Order: sequence, then structure tokens, then C-alpha cells
Amino acid sequence: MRVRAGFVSNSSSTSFLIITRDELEEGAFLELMGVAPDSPIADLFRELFSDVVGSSQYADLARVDTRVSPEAWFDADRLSPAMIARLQQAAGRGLKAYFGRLSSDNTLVQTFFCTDAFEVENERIYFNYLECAW
Amino acid sequence: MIIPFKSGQHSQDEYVVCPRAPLTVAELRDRMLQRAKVTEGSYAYRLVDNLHAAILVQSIDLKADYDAYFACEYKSFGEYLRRRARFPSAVVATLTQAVDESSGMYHFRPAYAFLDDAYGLEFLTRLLEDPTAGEAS
Repeated sequence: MRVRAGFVSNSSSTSFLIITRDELEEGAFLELMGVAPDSPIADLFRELFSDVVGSSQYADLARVDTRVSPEAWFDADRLSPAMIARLQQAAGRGLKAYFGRLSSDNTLVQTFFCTDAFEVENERIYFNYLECAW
Repeated sequence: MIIPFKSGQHSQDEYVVCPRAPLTVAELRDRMLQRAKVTEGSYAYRLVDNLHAAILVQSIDLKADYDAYFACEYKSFGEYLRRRARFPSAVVATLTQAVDESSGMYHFRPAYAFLDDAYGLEFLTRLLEDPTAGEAS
């Protein structure tokens, strides 16, 4: 039996990966998530967009070193197999990638999204939000 | 009408959602999705759909609950709210006044972190209620 002394954290974080054809823009992000810009709930997704952009590392996939693992492109400890496969597929095709992490400790919006997991894609953007760690 | 309250000092907000018009749950779902302006099949659509289910399907309709099971035990709806639901007296007063105008009174305890404080009430109001003439223009 292991005994832990001190605080037990109930926080969670979610790693995400976005691969886009163009620079990531709010309008395209709202369209991907399926919410109109004049929607009464658009502000929830605007805040998610702002948090995603603000907490991500950017990589121009046309310029990455494809001889090393995609973890090295982002200075990340570990990417999921699905993320690695997507990045390797996208490398050299002129696409752009954003990798980062949201934490339930930051804002109520991030707390909510850290309790969810999803993968969405349209012809312009791929958004992997599946790597949730409690 | 949406009434927010806290059952404890450090609790998350709870709500009683009281639709006015005699609409079915399916009609209320359609209205919520229309108001939200979400694309069918998208993440945002599923979020609103799940929120509708959490409020109007999975939450207890206090009015129906009282009529069906507790009208014999408690002599009035107000007493049921006070003694069984243990609602604050201000909430009991508001609900007993509005009971005849509401098609249901859904006690919603959200598991959505962002549905708290002023923003939570505003978010639910935007989704569940039609804007007044002044707000719509």
C-alpha cells in the first residue's frame, strides 16, 4: 500500500493538436466547432479559441526536421500515436500545426473543456482534443 | 424564467428553469438549437443538445413531481419546496407565485463548470428564453 501525504490534486489537463491549411483564425475555428459568429453561445468558443492560441506552440510543418520524432518539433514529452501519425502525414505539405495544453486550474471555460474529449475536422482544420489526463 | 440559487455557501449555482409556454420537451429542444445557431452534427450542436437533455429530460420537474407523488404528503407546492426540496425561502416564494404560469419547473444542477455565477445565468437565459423586443433589435 502506498500512502501519500499532502495535497491530492483534482485538476486535469488536456493536450491538443490543431493542424491547419492557413494561419489559425477565429472565424475558421468557430466554423469548425459548428457555431455561428452571431450565436448567443459564440463567446464560449471565442474564449476556447483564445486559450488555445495563447497556450500553444506553433510549427510550420513545411520546415520541420522529418528525421526526428514530432515530439521534438514542439518540445513535448509525449504525443499520442494518433497525433504523431497526423503530424507525420501533414509534414512537408505546407500545413501549420499548434500543440498545447489546457488546464482545469486556469478558467471555468478550460475546466469545462478539460472534462470533455473530442476530435473534429473539416476541409481546413483538424483539431485533436482527445488527450485528457486527470 | 430561470431562478439561480446556491444550496450552500461554497456550492455551485443551481437553477430552476420554468418554461412559460405550453411547449413539449421536443419543441423546447428545437427552439434551443435554433437560438444557439449551431450546425447540425457539430461539436457545438452536441453541446447544446446535451445541455437540453440535462435540463429538460434528466432534471426533476418539481411541478410534475409534486402533482404525481407528493400532493398527498404536502398540503401545498410551497410546503413541498420548503420541506422536501429544502429550497431557500426567497426561491420558494418566487416559484409558488409562478407555478400557474409555468409548464414545468426543472431543478437543474449543472455539471458544466462554466455555468456558474452571472455568466451561467446569462448563458442559460440566452439559450432558453426569447430575447425581449428591446434586446432583439
